[in-house]
Amino acid sequence: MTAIQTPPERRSSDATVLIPVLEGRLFGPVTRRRLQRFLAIASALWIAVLGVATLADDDRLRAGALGLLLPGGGFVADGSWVAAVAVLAGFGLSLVVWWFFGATIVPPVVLVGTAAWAALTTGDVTATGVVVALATPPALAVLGLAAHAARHRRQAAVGRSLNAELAAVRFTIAGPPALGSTLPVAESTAEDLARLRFGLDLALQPVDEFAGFTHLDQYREAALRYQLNALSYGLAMSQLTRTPAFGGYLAEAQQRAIEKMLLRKVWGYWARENAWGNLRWDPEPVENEQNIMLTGFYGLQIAMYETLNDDRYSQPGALRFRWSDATTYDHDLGSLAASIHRNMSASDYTLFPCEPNWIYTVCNTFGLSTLVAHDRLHGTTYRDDVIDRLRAGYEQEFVRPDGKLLGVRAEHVGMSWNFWANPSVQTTTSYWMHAGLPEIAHRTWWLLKRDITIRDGLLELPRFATKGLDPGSYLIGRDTFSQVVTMMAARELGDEEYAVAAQRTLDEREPIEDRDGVRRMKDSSGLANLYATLGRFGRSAGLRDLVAHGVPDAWQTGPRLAECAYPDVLGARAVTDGAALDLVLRPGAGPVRTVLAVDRLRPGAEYAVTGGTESSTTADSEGRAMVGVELADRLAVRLAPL
Amino acid sequence: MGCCLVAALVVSVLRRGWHTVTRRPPSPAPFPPPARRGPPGSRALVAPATATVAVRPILSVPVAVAGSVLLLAVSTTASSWAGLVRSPDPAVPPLVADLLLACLVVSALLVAPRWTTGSRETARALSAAGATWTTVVLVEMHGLRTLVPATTVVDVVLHGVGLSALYLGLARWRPLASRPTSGALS
Repeated sequence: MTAIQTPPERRSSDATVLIPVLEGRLFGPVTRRRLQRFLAIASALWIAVLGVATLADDDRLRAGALGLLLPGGGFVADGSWVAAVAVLAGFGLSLVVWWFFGATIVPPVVLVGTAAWAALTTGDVTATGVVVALATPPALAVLGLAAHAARHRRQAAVGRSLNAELAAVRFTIAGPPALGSTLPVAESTAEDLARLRFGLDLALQPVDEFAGFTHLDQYREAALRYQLNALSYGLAMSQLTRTPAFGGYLAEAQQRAIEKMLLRKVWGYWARENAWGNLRWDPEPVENEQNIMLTGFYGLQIAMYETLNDDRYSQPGALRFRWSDATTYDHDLGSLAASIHRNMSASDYTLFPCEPNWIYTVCNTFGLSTLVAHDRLHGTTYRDDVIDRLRAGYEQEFVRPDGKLLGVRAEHVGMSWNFWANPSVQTTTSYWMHAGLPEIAHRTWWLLKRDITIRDGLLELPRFATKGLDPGSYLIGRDTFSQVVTMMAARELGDEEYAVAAQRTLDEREPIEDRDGVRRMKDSSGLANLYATLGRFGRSAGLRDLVAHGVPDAWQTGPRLAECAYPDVLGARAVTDGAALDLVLRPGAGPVRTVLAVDRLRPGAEYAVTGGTESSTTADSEGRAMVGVELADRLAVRLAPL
Repeated sequence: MGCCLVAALVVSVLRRGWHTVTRRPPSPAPFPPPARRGPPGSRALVAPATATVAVRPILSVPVAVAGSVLLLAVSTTASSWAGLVRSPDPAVPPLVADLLLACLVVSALLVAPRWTTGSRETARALSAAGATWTTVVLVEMHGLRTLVPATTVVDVVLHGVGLSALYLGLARWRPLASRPTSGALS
């Protein structure tokens, strides 16, 4: 079992966070304007079609016009019900394609194409058919609005009831560590290290190789980019909470994950989405108005690396997205953050889309985290510029009256799916939101955990549609991924009891596959395993510290384990107080006599060594020294200045 | 991650259906190759690059071509005899049109190995476009007959364009799929 880490002394604050129940309003202001605009356009189309349907003599023209108003409307008009149903199904499929891949062009093409088909093949248009085709769209609109209003009233009543309880709840908003305090550093167990090795082996292969990754598609959750993001986040979290004074192969693994993201096979999806979503041929992945699913996730990945290691990816042009031998797009952490800041500033919602048109709440939390971390690392004020509008955007446009976060909203037409507020959305969003909007994150988790039970030390999740889904493989049947993200959120938000129960559930229930000391959950995707690493190595406010507060100065300047053999030497703990270095090491490939390289020592200074083969060592002119060790089991090593 | 779980749920249902129909369980991703790094001062050890292997000729493409052209020939001939479809040009037997079509498709396949530019994405796009075009033309020419006046030449050209694109795409796609990865960067 993973060691439970003691939270550090912090300059924290308390907050009461009520649910923003929209009284007397069915929609947030931006959503309302978008819906009004959409309805105005739809009404104008309806009037035009009404004119054609009632005045035109040519049945082909009438069928075509009705086909533009309602998918299959042209076939409804002449009583071809089978064709009408087929077209309706085809149009539904086109909406799914639009949603999956951001292919905005597909539904209009299907609508126009099927309208033309109806016009070319229609028989005699009947009065009944015309009335049905004309009446259906407004009837559906009215029914939809009525259903939304009824649901809104029910949810508002729930929200008011919850607010009565929330008024008495004080959430602790984790602040930075108190002056003179430091962050806790725990020691990894042998099991922790075996799980971490799965990520290390994935990351340490050559940059252009992807053995062991899931290869299904590059658009949705199983895409390589999300696996690389998760891989890097987990490695960074392990470095923060266990081995902040260890660079070596742990830093190298993060570098490789970052550099794999620059390969066209990983980011090239954007060229296609931009083409069929925006009708624009421009593969540029960063300088655009969308694609926060790349800039936000990747920016956070790099910011975590920079917080713990070095600023190589903030150097101008350090991130070279290579499209072809002749075309590259050169960026760095700064240009990723600037892109997110510009797009949030320009968006009426403040949140902005991943795929063309689709705004996702969770993706924008990654963008915010990138801004927060960039401000801390480089002195910008991106977060302050957008945070009030962003908070209002979340609270007014993306929170239901019962406090649940909506997962998505269509940017142009303002619509969302009310059902799309299941625990998967709440759990992942509350975790990632904790870095930048901790108040909403706490409230969301507080609402969520009311439905989670712990029985005999195991976590039981409520029933919901995606509970058994593993988004890393699109396979359904086990709630492993849901347990993983619940563990992540509970641990980050300070509910260790729930996190321990989730981890215990996973440890006791999931079959494990072991290969030479590398362990992973056998029946789960790579993505689930990588996020399990993030959850396993997390701690209370671990993400918030990594993003918003950074690490103590001593960690950035003090002695560090710079290099050692892998997998011969596994770092279970590595921490410095700025002068000495404390290590706990474990062998990963049997007993071994080996050498460690330590850097950031005082040049020429002599250090006492405990746990090594020599009792002392002297740093060279660059502050680097070698330390021999005999590693057969757990070994504590300490270097302290004499 | 997690931004579109409902979409992933839909994909999962489709995947499950596919694995049920094909009776092949999903194969999990293998373990990554074991990484190795030497101690300080030693030369870095990395996992060996994937060994270069010869690209195996893919038989499925020519088999698919031969099979589908044969199927088309038999079905159109039989349909014509049964009076179910009308030959575009009564003076030309359907078999002649099918032979012309086969020539067109085979010519396209002969071009494929010489075509060295383009990515796997291009090959996929070509396959999808070819399949779509073939379907649309089949529906239009034999079902709707509204846009194109049917003649043997039009029949062969319109069908042949779609099938040629489809097989060109497949011919490029499959060998690319079995191409070994390049050597290590480090």
